[in-house]
Amino acid sequence: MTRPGQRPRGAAFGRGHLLRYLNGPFSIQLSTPLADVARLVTWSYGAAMDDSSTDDSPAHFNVTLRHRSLPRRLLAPQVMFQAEDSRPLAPFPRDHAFALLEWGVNWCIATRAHQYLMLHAGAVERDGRALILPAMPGSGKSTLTAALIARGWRLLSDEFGLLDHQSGRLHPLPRAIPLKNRSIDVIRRFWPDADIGPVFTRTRKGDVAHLRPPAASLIRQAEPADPAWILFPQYVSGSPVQIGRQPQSQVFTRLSQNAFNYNLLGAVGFRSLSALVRDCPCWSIRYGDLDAVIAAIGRLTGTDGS
Amino acid sequence: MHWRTVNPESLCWAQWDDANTLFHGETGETHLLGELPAAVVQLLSGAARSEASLCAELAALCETANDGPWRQRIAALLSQLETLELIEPLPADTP
Repeated sequence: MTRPGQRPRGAAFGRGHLLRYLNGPFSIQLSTPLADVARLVTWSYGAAMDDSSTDDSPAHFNVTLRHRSLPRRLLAPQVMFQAEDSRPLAPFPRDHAFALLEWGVNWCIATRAHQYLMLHAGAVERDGRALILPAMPGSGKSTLTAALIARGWRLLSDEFGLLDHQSGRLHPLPRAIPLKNRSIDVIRRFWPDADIGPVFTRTRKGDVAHLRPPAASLIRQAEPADPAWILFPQYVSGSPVQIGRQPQSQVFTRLSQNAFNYNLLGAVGFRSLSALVRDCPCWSIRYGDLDAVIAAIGRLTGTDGS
Repeated sequence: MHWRTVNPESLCWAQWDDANTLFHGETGETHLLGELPAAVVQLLSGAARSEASLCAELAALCETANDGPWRQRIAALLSQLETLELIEPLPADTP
């Protein structure tokens, strides 16, 4: 097992690092002079490092993370994210470099991977069947996704549900899960063995720490799953588990409004989403306790062995 | 006045228990339609109809009286569907 401080894999170039790794169906090539970022990438995605590619084989996303100008570095050090020739995100403080990289790669995927309908959702798998957890404000989607993988579900994704237009299957995209604020300690208590990286304090989304994707999820990241259930979670402090069936028309509307690229895809996106909603039973679930909600999900999906 | 659906070949439907979802390729918009508006669009996709004929067909379909309030309701509905660019009136000189 690699640790956050371990020496990065990949080639050194000049005074920097060149790393190639796989994220689900995408290959990412990162060049950066920042050794701490290279170490965290290796720690997060070590099991998915793409050692087989040659220097001139194209990656899906060529990204760069580097310092801003020298005067700026002396004043208040910042880092820039660059994808090919574009700089889509504002600079971040130097200390938040890895968080910027993760959000930058998310931007690359969200703006380019239109061969999929990209649901904004967590997704986990058991026995080849996928549970989709659409992200709504305050849903606690990342926390619940992390808790489910702690209890044996395979991580497909925390952010993107990649739905294949042709097959209707969900493709994994097991990226580091950005736990935010109270969720960091919630998951530390719930899953003492969780691999959680350094806490980046006071980012634009508050305090953020990344949960390392399990090696088993990275090793199986080319293995899609069949969508089987859709669950809209809502965390409410102190709430008992309350489950309600969701009408398909409402589910379609909520998912279409929440997907990254539904409007862009036109009829293709409509057909993909219609098939998904038609084939998957859908519930909303309100909860205030992770153990209780996971037990309820087990019963609901018939994955609890009962 | 006669009405027709705008480019019915570009419509994609998903029918649920409680409503219908309609994607209109002409505008790129997705609409959530109840039973009555969905029936209007579907009837007008088959063939253009006069407003009077449409009111009578829909009244029979819904097992209701084709009276003044019903015709007013259908007129309002046609106006709303026209605003959504799902249907359009035929030119006045259309036979």
